[in-house]
Amino acid sequence: MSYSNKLSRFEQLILPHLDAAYNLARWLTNHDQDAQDVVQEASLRAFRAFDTFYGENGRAWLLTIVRNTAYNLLQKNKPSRLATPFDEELHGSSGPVESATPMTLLRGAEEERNLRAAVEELPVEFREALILRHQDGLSYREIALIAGVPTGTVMSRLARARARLKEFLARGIREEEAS
Amino acid sequence: MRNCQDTLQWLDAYWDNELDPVNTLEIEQHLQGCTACSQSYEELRTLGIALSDLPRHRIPAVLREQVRSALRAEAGEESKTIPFPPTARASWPWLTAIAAMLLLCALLAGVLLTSRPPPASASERESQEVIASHIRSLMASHLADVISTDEHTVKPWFDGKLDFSPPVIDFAKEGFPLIGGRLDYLTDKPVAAIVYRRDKHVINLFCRPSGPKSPDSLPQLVTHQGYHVVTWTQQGRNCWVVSDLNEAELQQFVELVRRPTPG
Repeated sequence: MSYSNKLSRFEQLILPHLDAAYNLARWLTNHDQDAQDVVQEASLRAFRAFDTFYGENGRAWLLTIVRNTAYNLLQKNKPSRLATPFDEELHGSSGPVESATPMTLLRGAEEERNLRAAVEELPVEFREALILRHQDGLSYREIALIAGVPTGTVMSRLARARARLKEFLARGIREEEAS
Repeated sequence: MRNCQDTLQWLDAYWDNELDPVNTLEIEQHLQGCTACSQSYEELRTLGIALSDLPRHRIPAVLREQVRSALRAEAGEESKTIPFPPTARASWPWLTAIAAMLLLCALLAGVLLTSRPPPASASERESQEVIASHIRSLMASHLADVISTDEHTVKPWFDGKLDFSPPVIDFAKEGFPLIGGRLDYLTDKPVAAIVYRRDKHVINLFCRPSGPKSPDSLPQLVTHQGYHVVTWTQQGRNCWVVSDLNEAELQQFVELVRRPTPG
């Protein structure tokens, strides 16, 4: 493959997913500048590894690289946050969590802010699953490939992430009513 | 028949359409008969929709450009560092030598025979880049990163994004209202882009420091592809103005920009 050819193929197959790449990087790092660094580095890495891409799913391929780059950066910047490997069993009970208060949800800008803040509070593994599922519309299998975990883990992460969000939002509503 | 515990366990997978038809059907049947579980499902559904509706983080236009130019640089590097495709290990070294000489001759002939167009001058390349930037800015949502007709909003926005402070003055009274500003790249260096409007025409004003010793120069106009580009240097600043506005009105705008600022 000639190099200008490589570049134009890359621009055609991979660069259209730069928006998704930035969105994921921003959610994973919770930080504008970090997200920009991640996208810069990940796209160069992707370009260098482009010969190993066989054109099946450009977006998932790029997102995998973005995800790994973001984790590297998180590990470097904030060792405490990733120092202990995330323990599936440690974080909450394994069964489904029922929220005590029925959740009335989410209209208007304030609720949107609340939800965003709640997502940002979640462990990075939960955020990753939520964003890939809800904002990129990926299946459990695709998320599992990107995150490098079994699909069962994706399922339990999503269930727990949502249970926590419900809990958080219900608590927010209760506090609001109390005040 | 499923019980509630069992149903709740699989509710997320059900909402995500990840269950096989048999399990899907069983959950559906249970939900029809169970108020508590369908309440949970309703919550899950609301939450899921809210998550999907959360606005995406939008990639800054500057970053998109930076990625593109980094890739072009990288592609240039790669083509330089890999001179020829790796040859098969030569069991007849002289054959390789002859092949190499033939290749060299062919290359030389190619170089000598191809008459190249004269390289575009630096300033011509520059004005073409200015036009390309202008056209890019007209495409959906690339016009301004900060949208405001208030110079006191636009000017501080550039603080911390550039190592210089661009002039931002609203000329609404003179018929050239300020629209906003954004960061852009010209010849691989950042510039402040300040955006104005004249009727339906968009005007981009690009500015950046010209270096300590550059002499002032008077405005020069060139026209490419139906766009006018006016360039000058003033008080240590390079400025470019680009628009499809007619020449006379554009000159008028340039004079406004060049007018010494009070204070």
